[in-house]
Amino acid sequence: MTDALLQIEHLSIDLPGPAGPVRVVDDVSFAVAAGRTTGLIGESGSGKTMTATAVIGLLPAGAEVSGSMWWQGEDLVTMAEKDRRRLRGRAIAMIFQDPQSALNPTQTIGRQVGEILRRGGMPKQEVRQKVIDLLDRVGVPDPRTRHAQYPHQYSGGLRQRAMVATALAGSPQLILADEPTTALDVTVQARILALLRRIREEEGMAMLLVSHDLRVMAHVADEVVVMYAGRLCEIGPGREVLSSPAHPYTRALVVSVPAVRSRTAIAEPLPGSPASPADRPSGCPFHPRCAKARAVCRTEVPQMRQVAPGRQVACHFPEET
Amino acid sequence: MTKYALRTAATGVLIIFGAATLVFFIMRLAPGDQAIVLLGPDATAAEVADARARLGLDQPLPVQYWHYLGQLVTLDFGESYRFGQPALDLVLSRLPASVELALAATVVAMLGVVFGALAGAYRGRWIDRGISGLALTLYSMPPFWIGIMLILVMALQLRLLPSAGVGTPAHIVLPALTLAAPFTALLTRITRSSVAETMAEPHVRRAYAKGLSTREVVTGHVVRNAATPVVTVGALHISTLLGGAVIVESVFSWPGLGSLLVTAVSNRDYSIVQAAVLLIAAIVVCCNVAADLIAARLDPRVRLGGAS
Repeated sequence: MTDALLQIEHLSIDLPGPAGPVRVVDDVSFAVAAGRTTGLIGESGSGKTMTATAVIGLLPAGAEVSGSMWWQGEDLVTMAEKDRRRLRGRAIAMIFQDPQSALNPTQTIGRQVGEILRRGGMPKQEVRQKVIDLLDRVGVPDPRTRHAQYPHQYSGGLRQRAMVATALAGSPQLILADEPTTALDVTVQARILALLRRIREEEGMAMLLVSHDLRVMAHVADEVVVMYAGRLCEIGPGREVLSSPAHPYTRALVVSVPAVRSRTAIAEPLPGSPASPADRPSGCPFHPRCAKARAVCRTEVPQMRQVAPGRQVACHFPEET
Repeated sequence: MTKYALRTAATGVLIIFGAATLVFFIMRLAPGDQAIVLLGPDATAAEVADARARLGLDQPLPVQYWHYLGQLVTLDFGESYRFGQPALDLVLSRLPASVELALAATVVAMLGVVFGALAGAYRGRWIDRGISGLALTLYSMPPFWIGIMLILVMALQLRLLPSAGVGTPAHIVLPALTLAAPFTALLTRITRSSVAETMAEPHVRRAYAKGLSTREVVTGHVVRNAATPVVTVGALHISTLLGGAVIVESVFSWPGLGSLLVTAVSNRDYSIVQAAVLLIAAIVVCCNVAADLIAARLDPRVRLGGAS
C-alpha cells in the first residue's frame, strides 16, 4: 500500500469507564488509499466511530491512544494539538451523523459553510460567492436565497447536503463520514450517497465512511474494513468482501440484510447481541455468536492473515473465498 | 410577530391588573388602617370614624374597589395622606435612584456571565471548580450581611468608601456591590450550566472538527446558543432589583423605591403602596417582554416561527 493517504498501525484506544479504562479499539491497522472510499463496518460498540473520531482527533476527554496514524509522514497520535487543529476542517474534514443537531441552529447555513474560508482570511464577497458555489455543487436549490437561511428552514436531506458543503469548504484530502445517511429517510439516503460518490470522484479525495449499513457500503465503498468489539475481522475490496465474506461475522452481517427483490431468500438475523468492549469475550470476540466456533476460538485471539490477494481476515477457520 | 406582540401586551395588562387587585385586597385584609395609624392609639372612636369617612374607608369594599379601579385607569392614585403629595409623583421621584442602583448592580453582575461561560467551557477543570465554589459561597450569603460586612471593612476600617446615603459616585459602590453579589452568583450558575449543556451538543463537536480552538468555539458557537436562559433569568432578576431591593436600600439609606414601599406599608399609606406595586408590576412585565424579544433575536427558530 504505497499510495496510502492515511496508514493506521496498531491503533488502540482506551476510554475511561466506571470500572477502569475500557479498550474500545484494540490493535487496529488498515490504510485509507488516496482517491478511494474505505468503508468501516460494524455494529454499535464495534469501535468504528471511535476509530474515525481518533483520526480527526476529537476523542472524549481522558481517552488514551496508542499505536500510530501516519498522515503524510507524520504521526497524528504524537502530533501537537496545535498542528492537529491546523489539519482539522482543512486536510481532514468530517461529516456527522445527524444533520439536525450537527448544524448550529442560531447561524445561517451560509455562515457555517463559509466559516473556514472566513477564518482563512478570504474577503467577505469572495466567501459569499464561494459558499453559493459550494451549495450549488452539493445540490441545494436556489443557493442565492437559501445560503441566508437557518438550519430549521432546511429539510433533513438539504441539511446533510449543507453539511457536505461545510466539509468541502476546506478542500480536504480526506473526508470522514460518520453514518452520514443513518438519520435520513431511505429515499433521501440514496441521493446523499450518490452525492458523496460524485463529490469524491470530482475532488479526487479519499473518504473514510463509517456505517453499520451494508447497503450503503455496497454502494460506495472501494475497500471495506469490518470491525467487531473493537477488533478487526476482515479487510478487503468492498465487492469481494460483501459477495463472498471470509469471516463468519461478515457473512452473518451479509445474510442478515433482507433482500428486497427476493421473497425466497429470507434474511437470517444474527443471534445474540453485539459483544461490549467492556466485557469482551476471550479468544475471538465473536465466538459466542459464531456457529462455527470451536475450542480454540475461545482461547486464542485470531490474528489478521492474508487469505487471498488484498484480503485479510482474523479467523481461525475462515470461509473459502 | 405583530400577533405575538399583541398577545404579549394583553398578558402584560392582565398581570398588572392582577397585581393591582391583589395589593388592594391584601392591604385591606391586614389589620389596622390609615385612620388608626394617622390618629394614633389615643384617638376616640368618633375621631376614627370621622377620619374614615374623610378617607372613604367607611364605604363597602366593592365600592372602594370600584373607585380604585377608576383611579388605576386614570393613573391617579390620590394623595399620600402622610406626605400630602400625589402618590404617583412620590413613587416616580424615587424611581431614578432605584434604576441607578439596579443598573450599577447589573453591570457588576455581568461578570457572572463571563465567569459562568469560563466555568461551563472548562467543566470539571480547576477553573470550573474554583468559580462554581465561589459562586455557591456568594449565593448562600444573605445580602444584608454582605452589606454590613462591606460597610465594616470598606467604610469603617479602610475608610475607602462612604457607608450610606447618596451624593458622589462613590456612594453607589457599596450598595451596588451588595445588590450584585447574589445576582452575580445566579448569573454565574445559570451561564455555567447553559454553556456546559451547549458544549455537549453535536454542532459544537462539528465546530471543533472545523479546526476551531476552544476559545473560538465558545465565542462563535456556544455563547449565543446558551444565552436564552441567562437573558430570561437575568431580566427577571433585574426587575426585582428595581422594586425589591428593600433590605439593601434600607441598610445603605438609599432613597429608592424599595425603602419608600416599606415605610408606606407600615404606615398603611395605601395610595403609595398601590402606586408603587403597580409601577413594579409594570417594570416586571416590561423586563419580561424585553427578555422574550431578546431571546427571539438570539434564536432564529423563535423569531421565524420554525417548527423544529
